[in-house]
Formats: sequence, structure tokens, C-alpha cells
Amino acid sequence: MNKQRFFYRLLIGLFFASSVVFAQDEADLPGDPDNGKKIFNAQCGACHKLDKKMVGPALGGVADKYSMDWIIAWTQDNAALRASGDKDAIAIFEEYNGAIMPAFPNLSEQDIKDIVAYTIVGDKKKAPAGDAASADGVAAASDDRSSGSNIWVTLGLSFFLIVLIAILAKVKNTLKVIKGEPTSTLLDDASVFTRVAVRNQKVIAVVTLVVAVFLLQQLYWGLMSIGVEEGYQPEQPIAFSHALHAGENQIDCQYCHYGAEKGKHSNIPSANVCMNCHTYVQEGSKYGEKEIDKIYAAVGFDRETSSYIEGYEQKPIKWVRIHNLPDLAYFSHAQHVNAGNIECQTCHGPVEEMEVLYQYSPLTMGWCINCHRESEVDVENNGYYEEVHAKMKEKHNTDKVTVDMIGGLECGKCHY
Amino acid sequence: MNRSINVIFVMIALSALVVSSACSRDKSKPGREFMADTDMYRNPKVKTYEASNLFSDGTSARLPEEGTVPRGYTTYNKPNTNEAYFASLEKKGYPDIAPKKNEANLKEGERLYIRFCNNCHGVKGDGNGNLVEQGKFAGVPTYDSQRLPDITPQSIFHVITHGKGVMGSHAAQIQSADRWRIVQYVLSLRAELDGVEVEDDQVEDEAVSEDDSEETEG
Repeated sequence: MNKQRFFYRLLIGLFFASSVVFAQDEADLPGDPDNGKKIFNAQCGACHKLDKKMVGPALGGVADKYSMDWIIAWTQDNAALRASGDKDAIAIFEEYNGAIMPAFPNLSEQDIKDIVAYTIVGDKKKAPAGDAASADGVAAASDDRSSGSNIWVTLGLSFFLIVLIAILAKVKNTLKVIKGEPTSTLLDDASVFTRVAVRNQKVIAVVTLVVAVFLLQQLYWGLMSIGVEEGYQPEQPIAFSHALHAGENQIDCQYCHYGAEKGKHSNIPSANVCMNCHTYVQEGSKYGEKEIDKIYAAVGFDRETSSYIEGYEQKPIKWVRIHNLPDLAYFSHAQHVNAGNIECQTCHGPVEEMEVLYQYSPLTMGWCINCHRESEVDVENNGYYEEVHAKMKEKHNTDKVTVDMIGGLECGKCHY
Repeated sequence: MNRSINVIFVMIALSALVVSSACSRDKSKPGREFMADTDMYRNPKVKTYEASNLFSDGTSARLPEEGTVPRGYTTYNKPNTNEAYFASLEKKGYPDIAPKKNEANLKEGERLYIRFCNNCHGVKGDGNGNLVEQGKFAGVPTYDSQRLPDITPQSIFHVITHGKGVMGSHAAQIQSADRWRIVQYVLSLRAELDGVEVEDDQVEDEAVSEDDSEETEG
């Protein structure tokens, strides 16, 4: 024991000598907080945070509440400590409704002292990292698709041009005054131009043509956009960012939309899927607690105690559906994901870059048909139909089998 | 003469610009549909997830009738308690309801592991998934037998089904046969971390769904 104590004093002494930043605190610390942080993140972090209750209690300030010997005994085998009738141990076990903390016999006394040192020092270096993250968030926010600002640019330009015309008229009149000619107002000029133009048949013809082409084009675009909802980007009840979840966090699309390979519909994840991560991640990098609180309000989760509220009436989250295929067409996700082996992004676009999700594809019949004409069917290692596939290739005079050859253009395939 | 034509062109181009930008669609609205209320385009049926007055809770999505099991599903009726978890640690080997241990199931297990577990538990199962490396999660245990000496196939299955600590239940996302395939893959990762061969677990006779079922997953 004495030897160990000497060693531990020596260690602290060394650390004290090498450290400048934490020099004030080091003398009182029971161990090396840097090593403690490593162990904490690997072994304790799943259930404990320093400043917040999670599955287990917050560990910041644990050294003030319990003696070091008690903490070591508890960590290495809390069940044995409880069995020995230790009152503190039983009290804390009951406070957390019998949630059992596993024994950590692998952690040495020094390891545990290091962890306690970390709980005393805390995350001093965390603050600047947090600032950087929020700055990133702001940059991303201003990077949104902004179609609304176009109209203001146009109006601004028009105003600028009108001002320019007025200035030119003024300059012209000033020059005329100098030359001693009679001045004319802007309206006079305009009526002269109009009178000249109206009398000239060529001008009339060109203007009529331009106006007609413009109107017809607008009419054509208007008609062609009926029922095509490409680019539809509604505001959702929760500002969920696919760019963060699917992009930065690299979560598989089908972690949440796990129904895509199972059935017709690719499911909207229920709130329990959100809670798989957000039990732990209680603060977002961009909106802080605001948006995550909406999930908690839906499922009845108390962020103070990190537990579900008993008897809470859960409410569904009313997401706005984006892809509204008309009911006269049948579509199955399972067929396209499994048999077609198509990436989600082929139809849904670069979702992992979308801050706010929008409809990427037009979902028109022409779009479907086009893909069915081009997509190759994997007929390798399908010995049973080898002859049929060979005949298909011969008939269509090509060396690959595409979806249209196996009935992908039949009306009844999608409309029935 | 030429100048007046120029001016007219400028005026037209300007008005066209204003008109076309003013007509640009509001992206937060779905857009126009032709006779959408006719039965062909939008059937008067209840769509997936649609709100509905038919049921008192206002949603059209229904849970399966109590006591029924959808085709292709199995039930797991061990509750989410410490006792059930410790009991699962005592049971060695796979129950006979689990898919057989073979190459195909292991490969499927790997595919599903990468999708559902990889982000936290890491490609190697050492608890260093990309979310841990980004510092968004902490304390994810490695699967090796030093850190988790007692785990068995059935305890891994129990944890995937009910969750443990801050890990949530994945029963809704992963069907039970697929959970057993993931168990196979997790144990192969564990063997790799320990540097040993996967032990040939004997199949235990007791079926997981033997008792009367109280809850249905899915």
C-alpha cells in the first residue's frame, strides 16, 4: 500500500511538473484526468454523463459525495457492495429503480482514480469545439435553397433600370436646353416611340410573335406541370436534417426507413427509432434542444431525468408526405430495392446533402418508363431461364436484358 | 426608328423577366393536379399513415390484434427486466427457432450489422463506430471477452430486442430471424477480437417462443 501510494504521489508529481494549464488543480487530483477521460468514454459514457442524469447518475462531483474507497468498491463490483449491506449503495440502487450497473473488475484502482480525476476536471476543452460546431451550423443554414429571394433581385433590377431611364431623360433635356431646343418629358418621348412603332408593320409583327411565343410557352409549361410535383419541399413539423443524419453521421437510409426492402411502402420511422439515438443525444448541433424536444413531447420523455414519463399520452408526429404518386399507379419499394437493387439516391437524389428534403424526381410516367427501358436485369447465374433470356436477347438484337423485355412496360404492371 | 424598336424589345424582355419570376412555383405547396378528386387520381381510401376519424386515436395505422402473430414472425416474450437479462446469460447456444449457422446467414447478418449496428459498435465490433469517433456517442463496449465476459447468443438477442442502457430496442426495425443472423455475426466479430475460432455452439432444445405469448413484435 505504501509503495503504491509513493508511486501515485510520484505520478502526480510528474504530472504537476509537466502540466502548465491545470497546475492549480493537479495537486488535489487523485489521478490522471486525460487517461480517465479515455476510460470514461470507452466504459462509462454509455450510461453516465458528467453534468446530466442518463441511465445512471451524473458523475460530476461524485468525489464530493462518496469516499474514494467506496467509489472503487462500487465500480469494481457494486452487487457485492450492496450484498454487504452498504446503505449508500442500496440507496442509489433503489433511486434508479434497480437499474443494474455491470461490475468492472478489469478496472484497477488507479484506473478508477483517473476516472474520478476526470470527473473533477471535466471537459475544459469542450467549449471552443462547441463554438466551432455552432458556427458550422449557421453556415449551413444560410446555404439553404433560396428561391424566394429571386423575386427581390428582379424587382431591385427593375427599379434600378427605371431610375437609369429617368436619369438619361434628365441628361437629354439638359443637353437640349444647352442647345436651345424645346425639352420633352419622358411620357412625350414614349408616345412618340409608340406612335412610330404602331405605324410600322414590321414592329407589330415582331412584337406579336414574341408575345405569342411567350404566352404559348407559359401555357405549355403550365399544362406540363400539372400533377408533376418535382421540387416539392414542404416545411416539416420537426426541422429534421437528412444532411446531418444521412450525410455527416452516415446512418444508413434503411436504418430508419427499414420497411423499404420489406414492403410496398418505405416507412416513416416511428419515434422510437428517433429515441434509439436521442435518448443519449439530447442536444442538436444546430437547433440545440428545440427540435429534439418535439420528439420528447411526442413520446413523453423527460429530459431532466432521462426517462419516460409514466402514463403519458403519446402523440404522433405529423410529418408532411412529399411523394404523392397518384393512386392509379402501383409502386412497390421492395421490388425496386430487392429485385432491382436500386440505390435510394437513384430516385430520391442526393438526400444526404439535403438540409430540407425535397422531391428530386418528377414521378411522371415517362420517367418510370424511361428507367424501365434502360435498366438492365441481372440474369447471371439464373440457369433455369437461360434459354428464355437468350431468346430475348436474340429477339431484341442486343446483349443485355432490360426491364421492358420482361414486361416492365405492360400497362397492367402498374395500372390495375 | 431602330432605336424605338430597341426600346420596345427592352420593355418586353423586362416584363417577361418579371412575369416569369413572379409565376415561379411556391416549393412549399405540392402543385396543381387535374381533377384530382376523381376516383382515379386520388382514391377516397385511407392512405398509409393518414389521419382517420374511424378510430378513437385518430390514426389509420393499427396494431395487430392482441394474441395474434403475423405470418413469418415469431414472438419473444421475455420481458425487459434485469432478471430476464441475467436468465439469458445463463442459456448457452442458440434456440432451435433461430436460423441455422451457415455462410449465407452469416453474410446476411453482416449486411444487417453494417446497417443497424455499425454506426456505434464499429465495423470490427470494437465499439469505435463513426458516431463514437465523431464524439457523438461514448461508452460503446467492445465485444471482446475481456469487456463482456458473459454474453451468450441469447443475451445478445435479448439486448437487440429490448435494448440496454442507452441502446434502444431494435425489435421494430429488425425481425427476429434477422436478429439471430446479426447475433451470429456479432459472435464472429467477438471471436476475431479475441483471436479465436468461433465456438460451435450447440443448439439448445428450448424454443424461445415456447411460453404463451403476450406481446407481438413488428
